[in-house]
Amino acid sequence: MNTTDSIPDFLRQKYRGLRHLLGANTEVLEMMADVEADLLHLMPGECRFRESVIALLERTLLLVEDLDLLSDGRYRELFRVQGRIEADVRNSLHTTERQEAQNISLSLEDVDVQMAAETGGKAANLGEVSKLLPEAVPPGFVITTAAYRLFIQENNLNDRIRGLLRDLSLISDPHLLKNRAEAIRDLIRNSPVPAGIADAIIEGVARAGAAGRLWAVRSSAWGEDGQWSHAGQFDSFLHVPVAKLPDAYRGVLSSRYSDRAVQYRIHTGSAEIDAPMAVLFMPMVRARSAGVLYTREPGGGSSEKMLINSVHGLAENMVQGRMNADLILASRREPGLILEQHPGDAASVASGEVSLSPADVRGLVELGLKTEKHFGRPQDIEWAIDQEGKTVILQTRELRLAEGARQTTSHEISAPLASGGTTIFAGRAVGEVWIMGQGRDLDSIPEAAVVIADQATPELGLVLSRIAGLVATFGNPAGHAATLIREFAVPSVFGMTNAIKAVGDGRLVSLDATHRALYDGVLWPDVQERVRRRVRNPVRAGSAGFLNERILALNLVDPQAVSFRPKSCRSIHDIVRFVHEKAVGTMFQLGDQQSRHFGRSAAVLKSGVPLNLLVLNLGGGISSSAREKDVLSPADITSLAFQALWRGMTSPGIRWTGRTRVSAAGFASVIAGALTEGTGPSRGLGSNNYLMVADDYVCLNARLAYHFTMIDAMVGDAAENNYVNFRFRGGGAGADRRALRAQFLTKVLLRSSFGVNRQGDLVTAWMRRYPREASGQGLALIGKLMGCARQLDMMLNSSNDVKEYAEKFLQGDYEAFA
Amino acid sequence: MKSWLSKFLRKESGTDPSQVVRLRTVRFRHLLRHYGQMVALCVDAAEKQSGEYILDKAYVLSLTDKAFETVQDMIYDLNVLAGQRYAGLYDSADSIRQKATTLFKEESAFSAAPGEEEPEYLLLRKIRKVLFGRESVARPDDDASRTSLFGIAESAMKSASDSMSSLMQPFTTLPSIEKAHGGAPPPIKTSVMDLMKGLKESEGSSLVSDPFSADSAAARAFLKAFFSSEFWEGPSAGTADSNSALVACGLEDSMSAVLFHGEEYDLFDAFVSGAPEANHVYCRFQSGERGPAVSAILERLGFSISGIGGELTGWISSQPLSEMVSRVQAVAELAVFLLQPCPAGPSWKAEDEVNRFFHKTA
Amino acid sequence: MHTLKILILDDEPIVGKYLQPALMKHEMEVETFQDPDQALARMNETQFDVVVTDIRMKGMDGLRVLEWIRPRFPRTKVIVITGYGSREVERDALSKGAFAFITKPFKPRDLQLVIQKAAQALGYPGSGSAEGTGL
Repeated sequence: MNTTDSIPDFLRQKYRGLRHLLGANTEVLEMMADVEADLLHLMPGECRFRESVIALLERTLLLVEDLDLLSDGRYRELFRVQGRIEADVRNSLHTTERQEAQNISLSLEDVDVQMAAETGGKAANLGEVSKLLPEAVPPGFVITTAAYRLFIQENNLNDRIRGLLRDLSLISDPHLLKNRAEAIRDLIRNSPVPAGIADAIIEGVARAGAAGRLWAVRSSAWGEDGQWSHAGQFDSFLHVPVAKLPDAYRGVLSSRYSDRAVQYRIHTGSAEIDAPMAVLFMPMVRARSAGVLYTREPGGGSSEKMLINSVHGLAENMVQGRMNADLILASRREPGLILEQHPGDAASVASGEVSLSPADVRGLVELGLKTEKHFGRPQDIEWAIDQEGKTVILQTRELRLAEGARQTTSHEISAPLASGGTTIFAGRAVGEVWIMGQGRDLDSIPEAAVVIADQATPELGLVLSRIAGLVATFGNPAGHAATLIREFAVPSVFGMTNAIKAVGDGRLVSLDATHRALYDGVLWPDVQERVRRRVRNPVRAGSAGFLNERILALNLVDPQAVSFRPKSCRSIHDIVRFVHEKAVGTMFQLGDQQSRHFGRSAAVLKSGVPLNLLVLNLGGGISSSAREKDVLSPADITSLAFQALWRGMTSPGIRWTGRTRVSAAGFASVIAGALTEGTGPSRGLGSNNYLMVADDYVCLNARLAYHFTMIDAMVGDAAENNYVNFRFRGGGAGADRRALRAQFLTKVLLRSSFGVNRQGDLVTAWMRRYPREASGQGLALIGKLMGCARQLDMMLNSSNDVKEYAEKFLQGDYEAFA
Repeated sequence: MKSWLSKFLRKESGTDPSQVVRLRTVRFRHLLRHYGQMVALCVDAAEKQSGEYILDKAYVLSLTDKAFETVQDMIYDLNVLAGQRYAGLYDSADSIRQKATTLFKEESAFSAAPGEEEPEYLLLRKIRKVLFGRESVARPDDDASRTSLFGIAESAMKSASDSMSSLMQPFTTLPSIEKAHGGAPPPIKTSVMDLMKGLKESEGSSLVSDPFSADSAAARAFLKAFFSSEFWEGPSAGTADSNSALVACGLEDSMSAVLFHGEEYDLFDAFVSGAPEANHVYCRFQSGERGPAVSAILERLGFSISGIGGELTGWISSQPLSEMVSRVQAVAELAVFLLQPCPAGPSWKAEDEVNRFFHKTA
Repeated sequence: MHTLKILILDDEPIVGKYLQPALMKHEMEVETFQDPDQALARMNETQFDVVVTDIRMKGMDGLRVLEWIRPRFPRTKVIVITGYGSREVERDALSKGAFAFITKPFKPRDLQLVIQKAAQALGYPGSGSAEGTGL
């Protein structure tokens, strides 16, 4: 920065301090985005994660000191607040620290349930079972989570994965998620398996004495079979010849970043409890029949029955929901006694006989009872019976039974449109129908819809977070889709065969999943409202997480509020927000002091844009001929950064004056109208509008009626140093509409290379280290957004409007906003 | 010194001094990491000069900007540590930037006649001289003598280290810990601060009586190696006069220490964690005449060394935990080694000293 | 053995000048372009296994070249040359389907190793490798 001689030393120092602080502020925002991304793929106990959090804490401490110096100690309380947060976070990291796995490979027989962090839940449980029933578990081995870390580290993937996961918590654009997830999978699939791991696989095969056989390679992610079931989230590879095992290994690792898995993790924030991937290798069982055993019938209320799903051959098709299974209800008291049986498997239907003999059923029930007793909980067991009639366990996990469905009587207002089937998750839902069909894009599902599908497939996992309810003609209650539905707690019924013909797209319906009936119209308006709220503000399991709370959560949103003070800062994000606001405020006060000092008021910018901006020159921002002027025109401001912003603000089609065509006027738009008429000084309406410029720098702080805009950007030749920061908040309309506008901004910004953080109606966006032209374009875009988003809260009524206007904006149709 | 510290202490009487120490060590470490970045840029640029690369002007520009940004940050941090006493360094950096700018302007005139150096390589060579050309640190307080950017960086490190030693000096007047390694009294006066205690407000004073109760593993490793060093023994044992004192502090993965002897001090800073990319060990020795020996020892330990005459600094980073712990122990040993007079008297040879050091620490 | 067809696009002639001979030594067929439009026209005529493109060029951005290639020639592996330390651009390139990126300045050998990886991903083990060409 070239400073002019007219600025006294103490101000030079302050400006330097501010520039430094704003740079540090951006750096800290970046670090927070990294921590957020790391939460999606690293464990809090991992060193890498720990160190990025510690670095963030320390950088924040310095930021607090930067403000302290700039403001001459006005906010000293912040030191104490930062210290408290740092102590809490360090404590929490301390308690999550765990011994990281050392072994690359372990035989199943050496594994027990305590070793889940090393071997993943599936292998840990199986290892445990092998102690109880050695005969029932095939001689497999597991390539541990230590190997995963080694794989990622040797191929230098950590930073790239983090980069690709950045900003994904705001999935306004499902394509973005898909592209990013695919890029991560490609990275993994294209990276060589380190020799140490490849050797361990060969050794494992030799130890199992199964070199000539085909193998099953499956994920054993820790947590997968524990508290959080990730049913079907990770790929399995079957019938793999030994030579292809390393490829299958990479394939399983890459499925950690399947679209579904990434979406799922973002939805639940479960990365806080998730772990890297361990992979389980077992020789293939030549199955005569296979299936799933629930040691208690789910939803049946009766504890006397076990539920068995069974097919001829391998169980994969059944679990994927592609094939129907035989369904058997067996007595727990009298092993072997079949209470009910329904042929479903094609071969069974043809022959009229189910895929299991009574002796098979007896064996399974006994095995189920033993396993359940050992683990002390009802189990969900995947099993197979080989050609010799031997039963083997392929996996077992705790069965998560639906919460006891409340037996409320539904008001039979009219006859249902459709009924019957099996309750997968009890509850009620109200919404628009969307029929799922071949080739229909899941992305086009409107929010809070009731989805009606022919097949319940695991792909539904992608949309479960944003739909109200689900009805499927076919679907296996024991399949992956059903497990996911329970996870996401979406009221759902499978096997309601007549629903798909009874309704069409867009019809409003009410689903009573508890009593398996679908009604016309809105029976329970409160339910509709509740569902909408849930879909719009998903409660992320992780958001309750301590680290989220103390680092990423933003509580201080309104700088005008009384609570906007150091004591109210509860997270690092709060501190950063506070520091930024106060630093800029302090500079403006200094600007006023400077004006008094020199007996000359700061220059005013006059232009067609009705913002009465006071201009502070930090050096090199104003042409030398204009330095003594009291009134500046935009052409006098030579700052490249300002010019880029101004270019956007004054793009053809952007209108800063004139009434909007919005009919839903109301109080807010009257105020906005008065403003846009250009009457009265903007400064009178709330706060100051200030512009600070230097040759390569611009900082604009504007309060327009109820909007608050803050831009600060460095745009020079050194791409390294460049950044564009943007904050936008407020608006006169209700909270819902303001949130819609924030969604609009988020959508547009994300599509334009910005990183974005949205909390309610506050949008924070940044672009860093782009070259001059690209950064200038980013600034211009923000200029256009300021003009267009001004009254957008009056125009947006639904998320469809958000989509529509975002498209219009991105296509350059600014007239639509005038 | 009218520093922020004194103001802070005056206003917030009763505040545990460790809060200030934590703030200062974090700032110092931030500065130090930028110094490490300069070292890395220097090494990278030398590597790129090798001729095997497809070099473009954009790299040289980017390298230059990165170096200036790094040094700007260092000057900022230094001024925070030292109460804005070094604002003149901004101007020194600016004048060096002018030189770089001129070089870039001239670049188009560089020839690329057959057989001659490619213009990009020539430009890089000239820029490297401006950015990293080493120079004498003979007059550290004369900012005008700084002719390369790296010189400014080194000068900033020197001044920042001085500030850290001034900050720690008052702690030498406090009562020493009584028991060190194995319950024996410490060989010299020692104060140890557990900054984690200071952070948890409820846990009382951060000054600890048992140095090995400090929660920083790095600090424990340093202290253990320091107290139990073999160099305390031998013909010169016990000659460490009462002018010597050690002040150390730590917080989880990090530690800092200043060893005062006479009018001089040695300084140590380390970050030792399971994440290699975050790790570093920095040491600054007043090695007096034994400079060549210390330089050889540090070099053998893998440190990047700078400094001329008696004052030497070493920097090593991005190594795994075990490597880092061994470096922390080695510099602690080296500190004791230097605290003792050279047994060979005035006729010592650097090579013998190096051997003597590694013989005992092996 | 399959001869890899490589297209190199960089508006600085020095890049092609150095790379072409270095890669040809490894039995690759290399064509170099400085003008993005000419490169695209050439791609319409003949299919390349690997395209190496600079990210910043006059006329057309390397990401745009990538976006143009992906739907037309899904088999073609695209390697993007990025500037020093541009993390965001690297991410954009990867999520738009780039096979890999390589940061300037690099050694011809570095690029050759990345091309080798691409060849392996295309199912040509040994292609372009120093070992494989010793025949």
